Amino acid sequence: MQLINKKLSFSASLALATSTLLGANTQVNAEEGWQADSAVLIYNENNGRVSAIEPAVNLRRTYEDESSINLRVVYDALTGASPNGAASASVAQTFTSASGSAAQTANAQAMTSSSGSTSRQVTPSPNVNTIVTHSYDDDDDDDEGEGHSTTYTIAPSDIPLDPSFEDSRTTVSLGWTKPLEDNYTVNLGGSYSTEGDFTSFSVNGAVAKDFNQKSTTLSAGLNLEFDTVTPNGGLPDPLTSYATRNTIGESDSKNVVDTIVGLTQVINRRWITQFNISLSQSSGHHSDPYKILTVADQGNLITDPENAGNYLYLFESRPDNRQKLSLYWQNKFAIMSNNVLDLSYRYMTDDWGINSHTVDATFHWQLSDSFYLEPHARYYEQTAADFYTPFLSLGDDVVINSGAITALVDYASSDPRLGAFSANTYGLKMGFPLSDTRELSLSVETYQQQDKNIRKEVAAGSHLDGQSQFAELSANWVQLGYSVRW
Amino acid sequence: MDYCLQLTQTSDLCRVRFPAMASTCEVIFDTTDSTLALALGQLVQAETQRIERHLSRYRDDNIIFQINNANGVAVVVDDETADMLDFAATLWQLSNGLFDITSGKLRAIWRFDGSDNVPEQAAIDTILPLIGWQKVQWQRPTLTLPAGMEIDLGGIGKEYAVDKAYDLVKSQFKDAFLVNFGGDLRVQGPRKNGHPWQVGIETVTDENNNNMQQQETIIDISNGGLATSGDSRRYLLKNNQRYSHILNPLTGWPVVSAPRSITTIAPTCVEAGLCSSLAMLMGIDAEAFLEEQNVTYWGIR
Amino acid sequence: MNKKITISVLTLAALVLNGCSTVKPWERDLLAKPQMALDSDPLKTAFDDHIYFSKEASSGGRGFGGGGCGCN
Repeated sequence: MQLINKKLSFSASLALATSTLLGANTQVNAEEGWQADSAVLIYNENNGRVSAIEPAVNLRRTYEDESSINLRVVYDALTGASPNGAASASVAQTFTSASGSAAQTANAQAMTSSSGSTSRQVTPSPNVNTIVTHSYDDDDDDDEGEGHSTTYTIAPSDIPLDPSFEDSRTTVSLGWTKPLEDNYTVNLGGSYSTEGDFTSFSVNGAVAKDFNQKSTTLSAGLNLEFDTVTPNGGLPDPLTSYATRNTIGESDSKNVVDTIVGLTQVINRRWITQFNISLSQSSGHHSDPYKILTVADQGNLITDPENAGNYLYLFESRPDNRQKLSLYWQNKFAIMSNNVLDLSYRYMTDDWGINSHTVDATFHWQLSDSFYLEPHARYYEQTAADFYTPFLSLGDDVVINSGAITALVDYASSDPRLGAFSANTYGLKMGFPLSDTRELSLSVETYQQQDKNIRKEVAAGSHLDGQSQFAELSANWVQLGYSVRW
Repeated sequence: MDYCLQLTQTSDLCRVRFPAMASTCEVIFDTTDSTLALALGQLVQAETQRIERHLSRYRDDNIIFQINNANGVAVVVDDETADMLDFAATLWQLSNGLFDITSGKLRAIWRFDGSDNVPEQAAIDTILPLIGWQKVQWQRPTLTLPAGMEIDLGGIGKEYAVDKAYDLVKSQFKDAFLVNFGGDLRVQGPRKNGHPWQVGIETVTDENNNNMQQQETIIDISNGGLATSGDSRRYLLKNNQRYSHILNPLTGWPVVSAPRSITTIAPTCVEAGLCSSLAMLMGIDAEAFLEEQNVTYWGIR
Repeated sequence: MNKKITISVLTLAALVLNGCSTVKPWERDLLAKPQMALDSDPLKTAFDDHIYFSKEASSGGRGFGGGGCGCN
């Protein structure tokens, strides 16, 4: 106190003592200031599939008039293996993953030069999993992509996973919110994201209006997204031979228009509810350039008529348009003075034939001023897209006439994300508010999918007989977060 | 306790009034929404009554009673009381002992009823040993008061209640308003018509109830706290010597040559209250002290 | 199917709008708590949504569909 006495005038010391006495209220009239949220996500899929590490920072500046600007930067580094779409079979299968255009010829070479899986696959050695990597031009100026060609062999009965999955992505988003006259709030934003073979740019705007002393809020928003995909090795020609790798260009685009209208209603002192309807119209290139489908004859793999020494796989094909309608209903219930139950439900339907239901429950359990727990459970289920199939059947979906491959279907994909499955997530977040302005949190989540597809029948004893037709995913992730306000 | 709450609506304002802290407490809202004004008024009334119950020295069921009757035993106090004690300790130090929440004991012998009952020095001498914050052991959250000593937070309680009421209204009301608890006030402005709030300083009357100042002083205030210390009605008069009710805890005697009243403006009511009462304690140096601190004030001598 | 759902949902919205009296500003003590915010941990929500976006066929609902990723 002596120090204060000497360094500060009496009125300054009095002001300091008074603000301590009256608490933060007097100082934080308008919650003007900065808030920084930072987090790192460590994501791991079981069985050596994808793992990712994602640091993220969100910086928000709030002004006295309650307007705010928001900057978010997320970096995403992924490595691991991802299903390539081919069916698992009782024989070993060798694939050459996407590469620079030079790899087109290297493909066949790889098939013959990789020891251990030479020539035809008739004599599979169990558990063979040879990976040969050829690196092409490391020149960063090269705009054809990563320039890697990887040949890998999948052991019998294993799910074909492309082990060369590696990407990093950076997303920068900016947002601005400002309250206007007559209880209107306007929100404008934009986002840019780039990764090796994909860039995305989006702009969005939303208007909200409060009614009934802010008990009711109606909002409407529009988001326009422009994506460009530049696959390594060019854009494959849909439903043509994977080994031939015909391309239809270097890149393609996709545009998405999202509209959303929402209603937020304070029901009573303890209950707030939100209801959103959103419509998403996406047009352009939707096919995944790295996903293929097995073509089977009575359940047996067949030789690619264009590429002797290779089984026949075709690049997948998806429609050029997709319309999605989502209904989202969220409720937050205050229980006692500090606990909160968050219950939400989402229904989604699209014109690809996918319908999904999502139920999510989180309980905020405030155990003390400096500790809370948030147990979390989520259930998700979706039906398959109309064109989803674990593999294509010779005769029904594809015909081969004098060496020419003709697809009888317009669209086909075996991407598990378009199949029928349900998924459960269980998680727990632990929050440690360190002070009024700082908080540390740690959350762990575990995710498990269950196959819900109708099994496609195959002949007994064939390559696909008794094999899995869906790669169920299980994953775990941990997120460490730290927030500070000043 | 009187729970009555009065709501008045004029063409452009709503006012709620209720009695508490030995004053009339009022909140004036720059709105015609009387439902809102009433609800906020009830909140303010409840909070004010809570503070009064919590910190009054006239009750036998609160922390102050517990402290004052602990008989030398340590008492662990709640957060709000601890904040008050921290504040009081700081102010005691800042004022070199002039602001002392243990000085209330002197009131047992000093009764400012307008009479000539000035106590004997001997009586004062028996009380003085029971006064002085330096004799108190305060180690948040534990307070040990020597037996016989008392604390009284009345010197800041009302101003504190005004600021608390202000915070409460401010958090839920976006327009201008004024909190006035018996002349200690805090305002949020300017009003919708663009004007500041206008506050009239209570005129000081002399012994014959004549206005000493012919004109009432009107203060324009848009933001902040305002408080007045004065002795207009609480004094002793003996042998033509006027004894103000402001007691110097170091001597046990009323402050000599204090102004009749000092009104100050500060960011909060607590600060305004402290500035005006400390100025009074400075006696003849009151105005000099306020000038030195760059405090806006109105003084009457 | 879709039509039916939309209609029942609109009915619900109407119920919500009419069925409750306004909660006064001074009754918002609980609603004002950070854990009562509709999105109380935006970074976690963003991470989780991104994971689901890349592993499932549905996205959005709470807000815009979330994209900007070649992962789907």
